[in-house]
Parts: sequence; structure tokens; C-alpha cells
Amino acid sequence: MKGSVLVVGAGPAGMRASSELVAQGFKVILVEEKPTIGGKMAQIDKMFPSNECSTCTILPKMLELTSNPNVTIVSFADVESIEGEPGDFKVKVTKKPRYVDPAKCTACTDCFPVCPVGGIPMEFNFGRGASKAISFYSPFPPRKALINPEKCTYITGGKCGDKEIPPCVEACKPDAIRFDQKPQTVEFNVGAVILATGIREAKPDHLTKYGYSQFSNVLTGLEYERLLSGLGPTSGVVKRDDGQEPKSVCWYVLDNDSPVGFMTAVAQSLGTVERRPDAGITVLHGNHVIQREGYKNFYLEAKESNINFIQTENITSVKETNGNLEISFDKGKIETEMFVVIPPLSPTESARTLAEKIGLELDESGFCGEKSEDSHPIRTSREGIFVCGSALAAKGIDDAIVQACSAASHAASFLASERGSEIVAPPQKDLLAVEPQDEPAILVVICQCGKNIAGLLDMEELVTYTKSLPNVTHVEVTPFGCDGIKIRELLKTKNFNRLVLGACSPKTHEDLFSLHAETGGLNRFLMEVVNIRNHCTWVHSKDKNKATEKAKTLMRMGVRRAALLESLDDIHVPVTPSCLVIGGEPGGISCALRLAEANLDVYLVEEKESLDRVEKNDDAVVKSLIDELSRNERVKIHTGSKVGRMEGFVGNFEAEIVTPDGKENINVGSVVVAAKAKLTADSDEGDFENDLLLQRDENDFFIGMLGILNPLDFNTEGVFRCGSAREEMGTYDAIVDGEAAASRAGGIISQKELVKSPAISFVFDEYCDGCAYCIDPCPSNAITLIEYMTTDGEIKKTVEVNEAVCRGCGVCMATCPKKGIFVRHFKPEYFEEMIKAVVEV
Amino acid sequence: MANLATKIDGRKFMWDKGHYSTEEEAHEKMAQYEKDGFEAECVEENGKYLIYTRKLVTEIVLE
Repeated sequence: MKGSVLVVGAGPAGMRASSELVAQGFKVILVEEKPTIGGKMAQIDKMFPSNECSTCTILPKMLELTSNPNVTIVSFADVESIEGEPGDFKVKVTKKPRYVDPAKCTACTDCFPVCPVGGIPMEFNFGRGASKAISFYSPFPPRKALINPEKCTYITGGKCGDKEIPPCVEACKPDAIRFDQKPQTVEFNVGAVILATGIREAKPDHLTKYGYSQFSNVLTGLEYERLLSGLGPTSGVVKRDDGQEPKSVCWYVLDNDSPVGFMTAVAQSLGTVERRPDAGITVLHGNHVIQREGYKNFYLEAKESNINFIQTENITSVKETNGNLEISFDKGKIETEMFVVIPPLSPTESARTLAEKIGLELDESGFCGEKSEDSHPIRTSREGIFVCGSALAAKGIDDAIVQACSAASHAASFLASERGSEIVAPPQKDLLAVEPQDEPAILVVICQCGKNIAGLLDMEELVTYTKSLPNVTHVEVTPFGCDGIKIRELLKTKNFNRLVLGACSPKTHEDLFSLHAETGGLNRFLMEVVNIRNHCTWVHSKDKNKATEKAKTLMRMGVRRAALLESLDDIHVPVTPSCLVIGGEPGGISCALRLAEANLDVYLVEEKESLDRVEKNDDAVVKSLIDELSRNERVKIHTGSKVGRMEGFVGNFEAEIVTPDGKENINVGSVVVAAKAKLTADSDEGDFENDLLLQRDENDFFIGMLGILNPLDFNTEGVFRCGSAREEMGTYDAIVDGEAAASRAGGIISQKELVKSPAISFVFDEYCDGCAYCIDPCPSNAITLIEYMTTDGEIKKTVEVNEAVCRGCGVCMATCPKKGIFVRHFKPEYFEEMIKAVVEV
Repeated sequence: MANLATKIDGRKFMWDKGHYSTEEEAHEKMAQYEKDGFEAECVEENGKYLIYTRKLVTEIVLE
């Protein structure tokens, strides 16, 4: 057996399955057919039903994976074969030639302007926008150049213009161009496989009936997404082929089998109205029954935004007149300046090919199908090979994430005996000792972010100005700060004890920059990220002077703050290796079973006298799960029981179980709430829902964490929800949901200790007088009041912060009238210094 | 100057601001604190004995 897993497909499902597996102690080989990761999620603008920015959501996850030593990303590659036995598969992968050595390419882009072959339609943008023969495939990682072999004249004809040596070779300082690169086969041994091969837009011949590929300004849904995307060919401004912004757009949803097509039209029409409120927006659609509450609300929001929804059986004709389009349908006729057809979604070609190669059964549409022989959606006809996301059938990203977690839990339990066997421990930190009294020596690295920053700021002026700031000893400009090359190289000289990065948003990149800083030998809390991209070049893109002036001000503030920063050490919290599952419905049962089969201890609490008596368990599949559960020694089932008070924090909860025989206290590292029913014991001592800060919505379902990538998480760390606890769902969906929650909970309790940020509240006892103003507002219940006595018999008060629970939100700091409590790394004097930097010019 | 606060078994204790020459003297004072409902711990520092105390406040009486 091997302790590693092959994940095929690096869209949201494949990426999530990978990160879940690593959290549970398994190494991952992530293979992606395209040159960059992110899948369709990287191509769309906003996600339904939350309307979150897709790029902002997925980019940090991409960077997390690319910098994880336990994930090997093999992009621009195809899986050729999967042979061997379950638990010990031998996988052959063919890497396609990029004609650029990715290990040497620094993404400097010096080769792009010298390439004489331009005007090549960009595949990532479905033909819109133009690139050179050497380019990036997309703005996403791994950011490495590649050459289009069909367009490069040196590859096709042996000459680049009249030059024997191509200019790209001469321009490439790291000597990364490799015209002799051939397809390369690499082999891996893995214990299990997860297929997350995703979907594509089916473009059947009859799409021409709607004017597609015949008339200008007729697009598919995904093509329209690229126009909406800020990183697309029109920088997020919807434009017709003639460059004009359309005053009217019409959608037609061809895919009536799943809610995906209709919800896509809803999201895109909302995105269009946000950009142009006066636009005439129409959505033509078939008969859709929207079942999910979130989807319904999203649709209602669109209806209230002056979007005209018309149900129609079919479109009879699409005509082009004077550049506009006339759409005739069974109920009438409309004129529009743009027409977006949402076609059905189908499996990718490579997914079908792979399924054939490895002998997987597919359904009539070519998907792996929601059910196989044993009626389990995630398993395939081959043992040890699991499937998730849109490889099963078209679905929203939220559902794909749940299935990815479920697939990860299957792989984790299948390889339970090998957990941790191939994982590489993070390298020992070797950090420069920096004392607060040390004279600051600040290194400033300014990222060009390709043309994102460098193209819109006066870089020379910014660099000259930054060099003049106090304590700045060196300023370096780098093409992409996120690759970390310059940051690590310069910090390793040990000449600097502070780092300021003039780059992008810390919200998306701080973790990655922190990793680079510590690899270079500098404590990450001695680093300050100044967001000159979003705050300057993006929002002031039309005024270079003002953008540069603002960048100078922000750099001045960042440098002043950096000079005050102090080193902080991580907090290590031990973990109790067991989980409490509350609710014996299908979700709770599958969750408990999956954890137990992953060799983790579980307590399952159900109020009915036996699991068989739970109404929702009256199903043959569930009954067989109950049989398996009752035979597993890792599970302790408490029927006829409820949960009383609960205290503690992620990794270390203490729960009171009220059984027919009395009360029992248990210690667990994570908690899964798997039922809507109120399973809180009548107790004066506490109520676990209150103790864990869990809340219910108007329909009594538990409210989870915001964000489409967090369907199973509560805001309380270490506590998860599944099945009927989060929404109404059928038996099979609840089973998958429970397994997904097992992955989330298992990711915590399979670790020996959790590493927590030290940027949390700290009490300055000299100033704290125990007024207790900070206690009630604390959303984490992390603060308690204590008294102490002095030699003269005076009783004084102060507050105590539970470091394991505090999340460093700063609410306490804002309420304290005495400056008696602050968040480390965010001391009031840091802010004072930044404000002085603005006003003392 | 001793630390005003210290962590003992993960819990915060506060210094009573006294320096006790002998362990016996410190324990005598600790007994007084304990009689008043405080938890007390003795810590030796530079040949002197320091006492740290704490009592969790579970109820605040508004005056």
C-alpha cells in the first residue's frame, strides 16, 4: 500500500480533494491537462448562488497548493495508464512539451515583446484577446511561459523571421527556452486515485441554429464569462465584437437537465446589470424547478434587478440585422445587441479517453455517473478509484466541493494504514534572531506583477522615493513577487531584519509571501505587505500620476510600520484524536463510519433508542451502513442520548453526553452536527449549540460559514455540519455530505498538533483595570475576568485570554478604554505611526 | 522587577508585588490568599520567593 493519491484534474474539485488529502496525511500527485490550474472556476467571473468573485476565491487556494511540499503539480500533462492493484497503482503520465524549462523560467516576460509572431487568439479566453507565440496560458499558476508549436516559426520552419537565433532565446536571461523539448513520460506509484476531470461546454452542430459561429456577438456562456472577468480580454468590461458596450443582452438556456445552465444565466445577467444598470436584460429559459433555497433566493434577487425572465419552449429563429440580433421564440420576438447561449455541459474529451484507457464504466452522456454497482456515487467500477465533481455530472461549485471532500475521505480510509508514510515534514525554520531594540534594516521588494503594477505606475519614481525612506537599506524590483525568488535570495544574505513588499492584496497573497520570507530566514511577522496593485494601479488605472503618488504614500506607511514590527512565535495546540458526531441520520452515520474506517475514534450520539428507529434510516443502503458501523470498534454509539454543555476549542473540546444511564464527559478534537433536530439536553449547565456559538436560520437549519468553498464549515473552528443540519437533502446526498464532513473533521484529528497564528489578543496588565468591557463583545468567548490580590490586601482585576480560542479579530482592542488589550502584530502604536506617515509629509 | 503576570499550567496568575525572603514566609502568605478563595502559586526568582494568585470571576455584581 502507498500513502499517496493521484488526483486527476485541477479544477475546484481536484484542488479541494488534494488539500483535504494533505491535511489528512497523504501525499498528492495532481495532474492537470491544461498548462495552468483552476479549471473552469478560473475562467468564470462570479459564482452562483453567493455571487462571490471566483478569481479572488480560488487564487489563494491555487497558491496554497503550489507552495505545499506534499503536493506535486504536474500541469500540461495527460494520464496515460493506471495499472497495478488497488493500494499500489502504477501511473504513467505524459508531460506535453512547453518548449520552455519551467524550472528555469522566472516569468519575467522579457521574451514576449521580442517574439515577432503575434495576434494569436487566446485559448483561455476562447479565442478572444491576442498573444504572442510565446506567452502565458492564463494569469494563474504555475506561471510559466510556453510556446505555441503551431505558430512559432522557428518550430515550424527552422527560422524566426530572418534570424537564425530566435530573439526569445537571446532575451531569456535564465536560459529557459528549450526548442528540443519532447513529450516526457513520468511514472508514479500511488495507493488511490481521484478523478476530478470536470466538464466542458458541449458545442453540438445545432448551436449554429442559434447563430453561434455564424453571427458576431453570439457567444456561449463560458465565452461571456471571460468578458465579465477582470482578468479577461476586455478587463471585465462587456464589449461586442465591434468594441462597443451592448445596451441589451439576451440569454437562452439550452441545458434544462440540471440547474447549472439556468443559474449561470442568472449570475451572468446579474453581473451585467451590476456593470450597466440601464441595460435591457432578458433570460429565455425552459421549465426549471429550482429546489435549493440558496438558488431560489439568487433567482429572486435577479428578478428584482429588472431582469426579464421568459419561459419558452423553443427558439424558432435568430437573425442578424445591422449588427443586432433578432430572436424569435414561441411567445414573441426580441431584439438584442448580444446573444448568449448556455449549452449543455458534457465531460471533457480527455476524461472520456482516460475512462476508456483505465476501463471505467460511463453513463450514456459520458459521465462517470452518479451511481455505480454498489449504489455509491463516489466509488467507481474500479476499487481504489474514486470520482467527484462535474466528472460525475454537471453541478455547481458548492456541490463539487462537497463531493471532493467525500472522495478524499474515501481515499483516506482506503489508505488508512499508510497515513503519514509519504508526507514530508515542513523544514525546520532557521530564522534570524531579531530583537525589538535592533536597528531596523528594511528590504523593500516591489513586484511588477507583469504589467499589472509596472504598466500603470511610474516605477522609477517609486523606487527612488522608497530608497529615500528611513531605515530602507535596499530596494529591489521583481517581475513577480509571488514566485519568491528575489525575496528568498535577498533575505538569505541576512543583511535585512524587516521586509516590505510592494505588491498585491495580503488577503490573497500574505500566506504565500510569509512562506517565502521564512524560507529566506525572516520571521513572517517582520514582513509588511503594501497593496500597491489593488489600491493603486487597479482603482486608479486611468491616472498614472495619482496612482504613483498614492503608492508612495502607502509605501511610506508600510515602511514606518515595518520598522516597529516584532518577531512572534507560532502557538502549538495539541489535538485529541477523536470526533463527536451529533445525530444518527444518514449523514451522521456515513460520517462516523468514514472516520472509523480511517482509524479515527468516533462518538455518535442519537436521541432515538436505536439507529434503526430514525425515520430517515429506512433505506437498505443506510441499514447496511448501520451494520458496518455497529461492527466497527472505533465507534462508540450513544443512543437514547443527547449532548449537554460543551467547552473548549478546535482540537480540544470537552462534551457532556446525557445518556439513559447518566452523564458522561468525553474529550474530542472535532465535532460534526449531522441533524436538524434539536439534540441539546435539558441542562442548566449549558447547551452545546450556544456553547459552540452555532446559529440556525429561519427554517431551523444551521447557518454555516460564508463562502462557496465552505459548505460544511461553521464559523467555530473544528465544528462542521452535514446532512439535514445544513439543508433538506435525499438519502444519497446526505451520505456523501456526511463523508465530506468526515474529511473536514478528519483533517483536524489526524494531526498531532495544530499550529495557530500568534497574532491574537495580548493583555497589557499594567493598563488593564478589569473593567470587563471587552468580555461580552468577544465573538469567540475567549476572554475571562480574573481577580488577584496584592500584599496590602487590595483585590485587583484583569482579564485572561484563551489563546487557543482567540482569533485575533481585534474587537477587544476596539472596546478597551485603557489600551489594556491589543492584538499582537496590530499594536495601536503601529497604526499611530502609519497615520503620522500620512499627515507628516 | 518580576513579571506582573505568569502562566502556570496554561493559566494566568498575577504577582502580588511582594518579595518573600523564605519559602516559609511565602507559604504563610499563600495560606491567607487561599483562605480568601484565591489560588496561589509560589515561584523562586533570584533567591527570593514570589507569590502569584488568581480567582476566576463568574459573576459581576452591579452597584
